[in-house]
Amino acid sequence: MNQQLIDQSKTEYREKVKLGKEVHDYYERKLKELNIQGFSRITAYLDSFLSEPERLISRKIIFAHLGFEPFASLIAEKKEFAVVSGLNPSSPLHLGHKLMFDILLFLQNLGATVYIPITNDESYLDGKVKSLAESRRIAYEVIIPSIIAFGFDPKKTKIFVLSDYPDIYNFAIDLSKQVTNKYVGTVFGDEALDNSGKAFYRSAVQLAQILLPQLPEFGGIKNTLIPVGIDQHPYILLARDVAKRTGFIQPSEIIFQFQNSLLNPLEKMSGSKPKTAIYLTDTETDIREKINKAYTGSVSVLDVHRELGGVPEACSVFSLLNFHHPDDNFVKEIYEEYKSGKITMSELKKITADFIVSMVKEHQVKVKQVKNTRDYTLKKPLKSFLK
Amino acid sequence: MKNKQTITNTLFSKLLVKEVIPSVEEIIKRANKKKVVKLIYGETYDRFGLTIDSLKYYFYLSLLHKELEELGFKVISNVIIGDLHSVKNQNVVNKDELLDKASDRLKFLKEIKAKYSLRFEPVLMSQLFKQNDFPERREATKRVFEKTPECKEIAQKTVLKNRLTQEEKAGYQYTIEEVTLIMGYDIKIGPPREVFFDQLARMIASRLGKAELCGIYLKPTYPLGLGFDYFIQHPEIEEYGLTPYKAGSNQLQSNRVILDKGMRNTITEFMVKSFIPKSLKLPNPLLDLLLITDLAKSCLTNSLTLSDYQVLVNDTEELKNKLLKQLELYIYQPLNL
Repeated sequence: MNQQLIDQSKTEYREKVKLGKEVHDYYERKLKELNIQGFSRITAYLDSFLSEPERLISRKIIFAHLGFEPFASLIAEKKEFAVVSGLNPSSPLHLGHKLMFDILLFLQNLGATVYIPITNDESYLDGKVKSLAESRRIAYEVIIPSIIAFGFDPKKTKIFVLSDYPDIYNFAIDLSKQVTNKYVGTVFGDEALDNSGKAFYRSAVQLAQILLPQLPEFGGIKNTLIPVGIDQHPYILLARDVAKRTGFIQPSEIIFQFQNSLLNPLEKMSGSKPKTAIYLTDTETDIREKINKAYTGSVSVLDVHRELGGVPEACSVFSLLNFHHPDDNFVKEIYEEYKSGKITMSELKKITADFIVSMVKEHQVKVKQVKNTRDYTLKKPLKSFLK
Repeated sequence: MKNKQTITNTLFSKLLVKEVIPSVEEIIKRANKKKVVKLIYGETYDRFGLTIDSLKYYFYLSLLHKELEELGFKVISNVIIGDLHSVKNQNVVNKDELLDKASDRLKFLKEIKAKYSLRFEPVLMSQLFKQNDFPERREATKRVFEKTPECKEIAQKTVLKNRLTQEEKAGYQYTIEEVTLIMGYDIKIGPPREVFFDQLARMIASRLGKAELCGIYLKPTYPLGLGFDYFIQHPEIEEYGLTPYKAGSNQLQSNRVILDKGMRNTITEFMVKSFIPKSLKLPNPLLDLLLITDLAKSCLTNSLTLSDYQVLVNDTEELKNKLLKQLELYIYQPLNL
């Protein structure tokens, strides 16, 4: 073996270890920066409370919260609470979205009524689609059937496409006087004021989605939980501030880790960057090809990998298993074997691809079986704030 | 006789003891310098009666006393019944009635002592306050307390926030008396929150040139019959627990076990309603009851043994069965309950 190659590979390993540490420390650093509480204290209790282990908890995928405490009581007493989390319909759902829907489903099983706003207006305003019509089409043809296929309970699920639920804009108008443009600029940056639509969306429409479950039409004031990525924390702060001033209960948040991009473990999977994401509409060939090209925690020389091991924390392939495989023991075993060098990169890629292909195929079968979307869509007129 | 350096580890098991200040080794080292080692556990009470949690402290004190004697030390142990301090709080109604209960409590404590052959002497606080030198010692404590700003900062931590103003007005009289009392002892057994009283006692003792108190803080006492959410919502209770000897601590008297004929039914009900965690790190009031029965058994059989709690947290039914069996044998029967 060429010594120079071995030395290069060892240097590569050290860089990956450094990157792994950076990935590992990212959320801790963010918590400190934003002064948010970690979820570990609550995790300890939920671990004992839940009848079966839940990977979102045991693997610390949900890692922080703001104001979760009242939900512990609601969950323990099996009382209703609301959860709101939506998405931009600019591409088919990918594994990052699936992670969020897994969280929503987990919360629904704990008693939540889940509100899912499909923000085709935001997709259009942010330039992610060419027209409102395009994002509307994606929402109905691709996204809503895919969401339903996850197994949500129609009685406790309320999906709405923003442009088809204009009453929400009335509510947004009602709330909009609470937030000045200056305030929006401070919270979201100047780009939130690029055009009047964006400013209205960020300052009011988003708030209306978060506070919607507290309207009398949905049973009135109640605790509402918003699962978010750490980058969405400012939305929640703004919503809490406005809620406090308008007589609603301040919404709470749980913060979950983002699904790593396939190409860079420090970035998140993005629907608008196809090479970074595995879509739930991808074919087996697409998935295997994307996983084969993904960034890994292994060095290029096999003997060095065997000697030093892999770096799971810096590996976008391992993260797919970590975020989605249901079996904690299996994931732990793979982690140890990969870290020790016992499993090679190609073996890890095959194990992961086999699992993801089977998971996505199963989902695609379920999507085809979805016939009825009406039971899930929200039509209820909003009148209470107009009286 | 045992080697003086080898105290039984079980007495300091993490399941039993939250913290030892300064350390087990230091306790033995200091005991070696004493002709007599004096142990204290003190408790106030309220109108609700004697809690099962007080038993934990009586048993522990007695087992420690026995252990130290077996190591060759001469030991004196006292359980102080804080009659005067039980009525000190201005919110306490029927003070005379409560003061009268001290003699009943003393009587019951003597019965418990006899049934389990416990090695301590129960004493009323009012009797200790009558000792000739007490007023002088109290004045010395007060002088240091008033001269030292850090003392007041620590004293504030000994008081619940809603009673702070009242204590300030009273010049921390309760705290000063408590500290004066415990400074006469070498080792104090108590619940975790008392760490602040003892910290104050150590600070004042060092300024008065006296030996500093060692503290053994048992694991916190938790309310029974509540869900996991209660502990999430009350991090302070999770950390320090309730006051073990006062059933009305935090107004949770309905979630405590009082030593009386009704306790069988109460415990059966609590077994259904209580959150039982799978981790030993989380509050587990049922496991705490089992621990009390283990200590009772140890006192009755003269041999300290604890159940395998790690196994029991993973087997809730076994935990409940064992608890019921041990309650019958080591609490209900000996105390005729």
